[in-house]
Amino acid sequence: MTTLLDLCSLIRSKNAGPFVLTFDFMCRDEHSYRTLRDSGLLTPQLFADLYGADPDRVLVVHHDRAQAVKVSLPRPVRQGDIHDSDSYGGQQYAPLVDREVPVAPLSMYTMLTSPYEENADRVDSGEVPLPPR
Amino acid sequence: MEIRILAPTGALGAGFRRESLERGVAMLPHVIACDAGSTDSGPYHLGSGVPKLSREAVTRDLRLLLKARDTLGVPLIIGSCGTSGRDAGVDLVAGIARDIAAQEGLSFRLALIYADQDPAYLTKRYEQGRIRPLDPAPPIDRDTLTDSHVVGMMGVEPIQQALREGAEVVLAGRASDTALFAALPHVMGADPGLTWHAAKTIECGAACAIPPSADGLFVHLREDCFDVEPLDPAARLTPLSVAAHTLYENANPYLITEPSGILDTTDASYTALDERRVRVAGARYRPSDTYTIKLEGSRLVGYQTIAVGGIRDRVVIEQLPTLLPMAQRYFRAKISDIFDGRVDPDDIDIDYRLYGQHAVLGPLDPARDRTAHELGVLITITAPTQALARAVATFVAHSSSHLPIPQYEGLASTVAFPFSPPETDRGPVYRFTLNHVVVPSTPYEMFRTVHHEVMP
Repeated sequence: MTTLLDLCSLIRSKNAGPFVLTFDFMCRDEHSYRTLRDSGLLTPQLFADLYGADPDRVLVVHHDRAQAVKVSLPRPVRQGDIHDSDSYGGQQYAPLVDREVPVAPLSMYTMLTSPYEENADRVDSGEVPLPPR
Repeated sequence: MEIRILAPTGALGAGFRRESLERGVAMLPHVIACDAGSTDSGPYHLGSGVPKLSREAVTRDLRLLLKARDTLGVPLIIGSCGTSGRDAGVDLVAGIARDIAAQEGLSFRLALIYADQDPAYLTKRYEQGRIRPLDPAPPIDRDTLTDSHVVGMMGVEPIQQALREGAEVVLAGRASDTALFAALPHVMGADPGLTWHAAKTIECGAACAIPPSADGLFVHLREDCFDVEPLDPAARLTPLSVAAHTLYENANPYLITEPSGILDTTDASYTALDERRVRVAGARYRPSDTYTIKLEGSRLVGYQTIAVGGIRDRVVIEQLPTLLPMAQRYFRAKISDIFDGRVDPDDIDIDYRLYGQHAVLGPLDPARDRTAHELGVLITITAPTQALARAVATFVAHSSSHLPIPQYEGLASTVAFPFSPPETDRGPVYRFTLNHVVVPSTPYEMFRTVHHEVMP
């Protein structure tokens, strides 16, 4: 079983201004990043379920060059309001740490196609294998 | 062309190594810039005007920066003075700068740029439909704009104007962090995409270095790329650490909005020059059709008194889900009784936070059904006046320590209070009220600049 903590060197939640909560999933290496990205775990629906957000207002960004997945959503309570329990948003990621990362059914295919498109130089140099076409 | 930018630290008063600044000065920057504020510390600083960092810490950093600027003869730009960027924060840092100038024998032309917003101006723009919400924004009305303390977040333009008018030290109120670093390179003709990206990269100082620290970064900005390096020789940057910094405290790492447009880092490339330095290229700046200034507002909500305690007895812990709602009903009746109807119980908020039992994540905590063997209790009373908050807190704390436990006969003792008295006044509390922008007629009209000659 692979968890988010297995794949990430840093899992972080922070404010992006007083009204937005944002999560950074910084992966240990390129393979971890692709595993996480292609697993389909970090979806708007997951964050809607965990933080009560409208899934249409959850932004999920895959940042290939930073080997990171970023998720942002409206803060459940505005920062520092009288019933806010986490003014810096610093511990909101906690329920995700041990979350199991599913194996993507097409992971072999997506792992091999994406680097070809995004890292043509590295494919040419033989560092990344060519996709089966 | 090469424009060199020195970013000594992430926040004025957060500190940096003297040797790092000296190393940066030796590389002959064209400008030294530094942010001094943020909303991240919460609504208190904007609402009250009280800075987050101490006068001593700000003085220490500012003294070194003013001396470095004097050595180099280049502009020193500091933004969001006093944490919130309120006028009071600008005046506070200006006072410190004057004291330092007197002590160190420094003279400089000082520009103060004020960012507090006049309620009459905001009301006029609101009525014109020129105050627009950013997603997600709280609902507002005219009163929101007049009940709150509001600052506008300036772009590069007022800073550039101050520099054109001869300022050597610019102390700005609330300002876009990136604008402080982008202002001068823009005037010198640097590519806006690269400039804004370089500014975004260094605005937190060495926060993106390995290891992250309160220290500085240095940028060499050229026609087609910029190189960035940490000022501490023991720290290093990698393409990954620099790319990852666009994620920090930012909703979308690819699109960063400024008053005049959007920085798009989608096609940016990050290349290691060696073990410590990274070359960055490829970001684009897309000017917007409409110039917008972001507003930040904070409003007084009331006054708080808190009591902190602990519960160890499992019998008490098991009863809390029924006892706390019962206690809340009792407090409402008691408020009506004690104040003889002069205080509306709806105006007083009594909040229990049980640390050890989903206090941080609340009812959303996936582990909420786990039983705790020891609980921390934070009781928070928020009321329209401090005296009222304290008066209510005294009987709330007292009653909380004598909750009626069905299994026990006689007067039970249910909370361990570590302090005497258990109640502590927290003072005024504030609420962020705006996530909006104004469409001004010019980039300058919301900000006021005053020039001074500072002599030792």
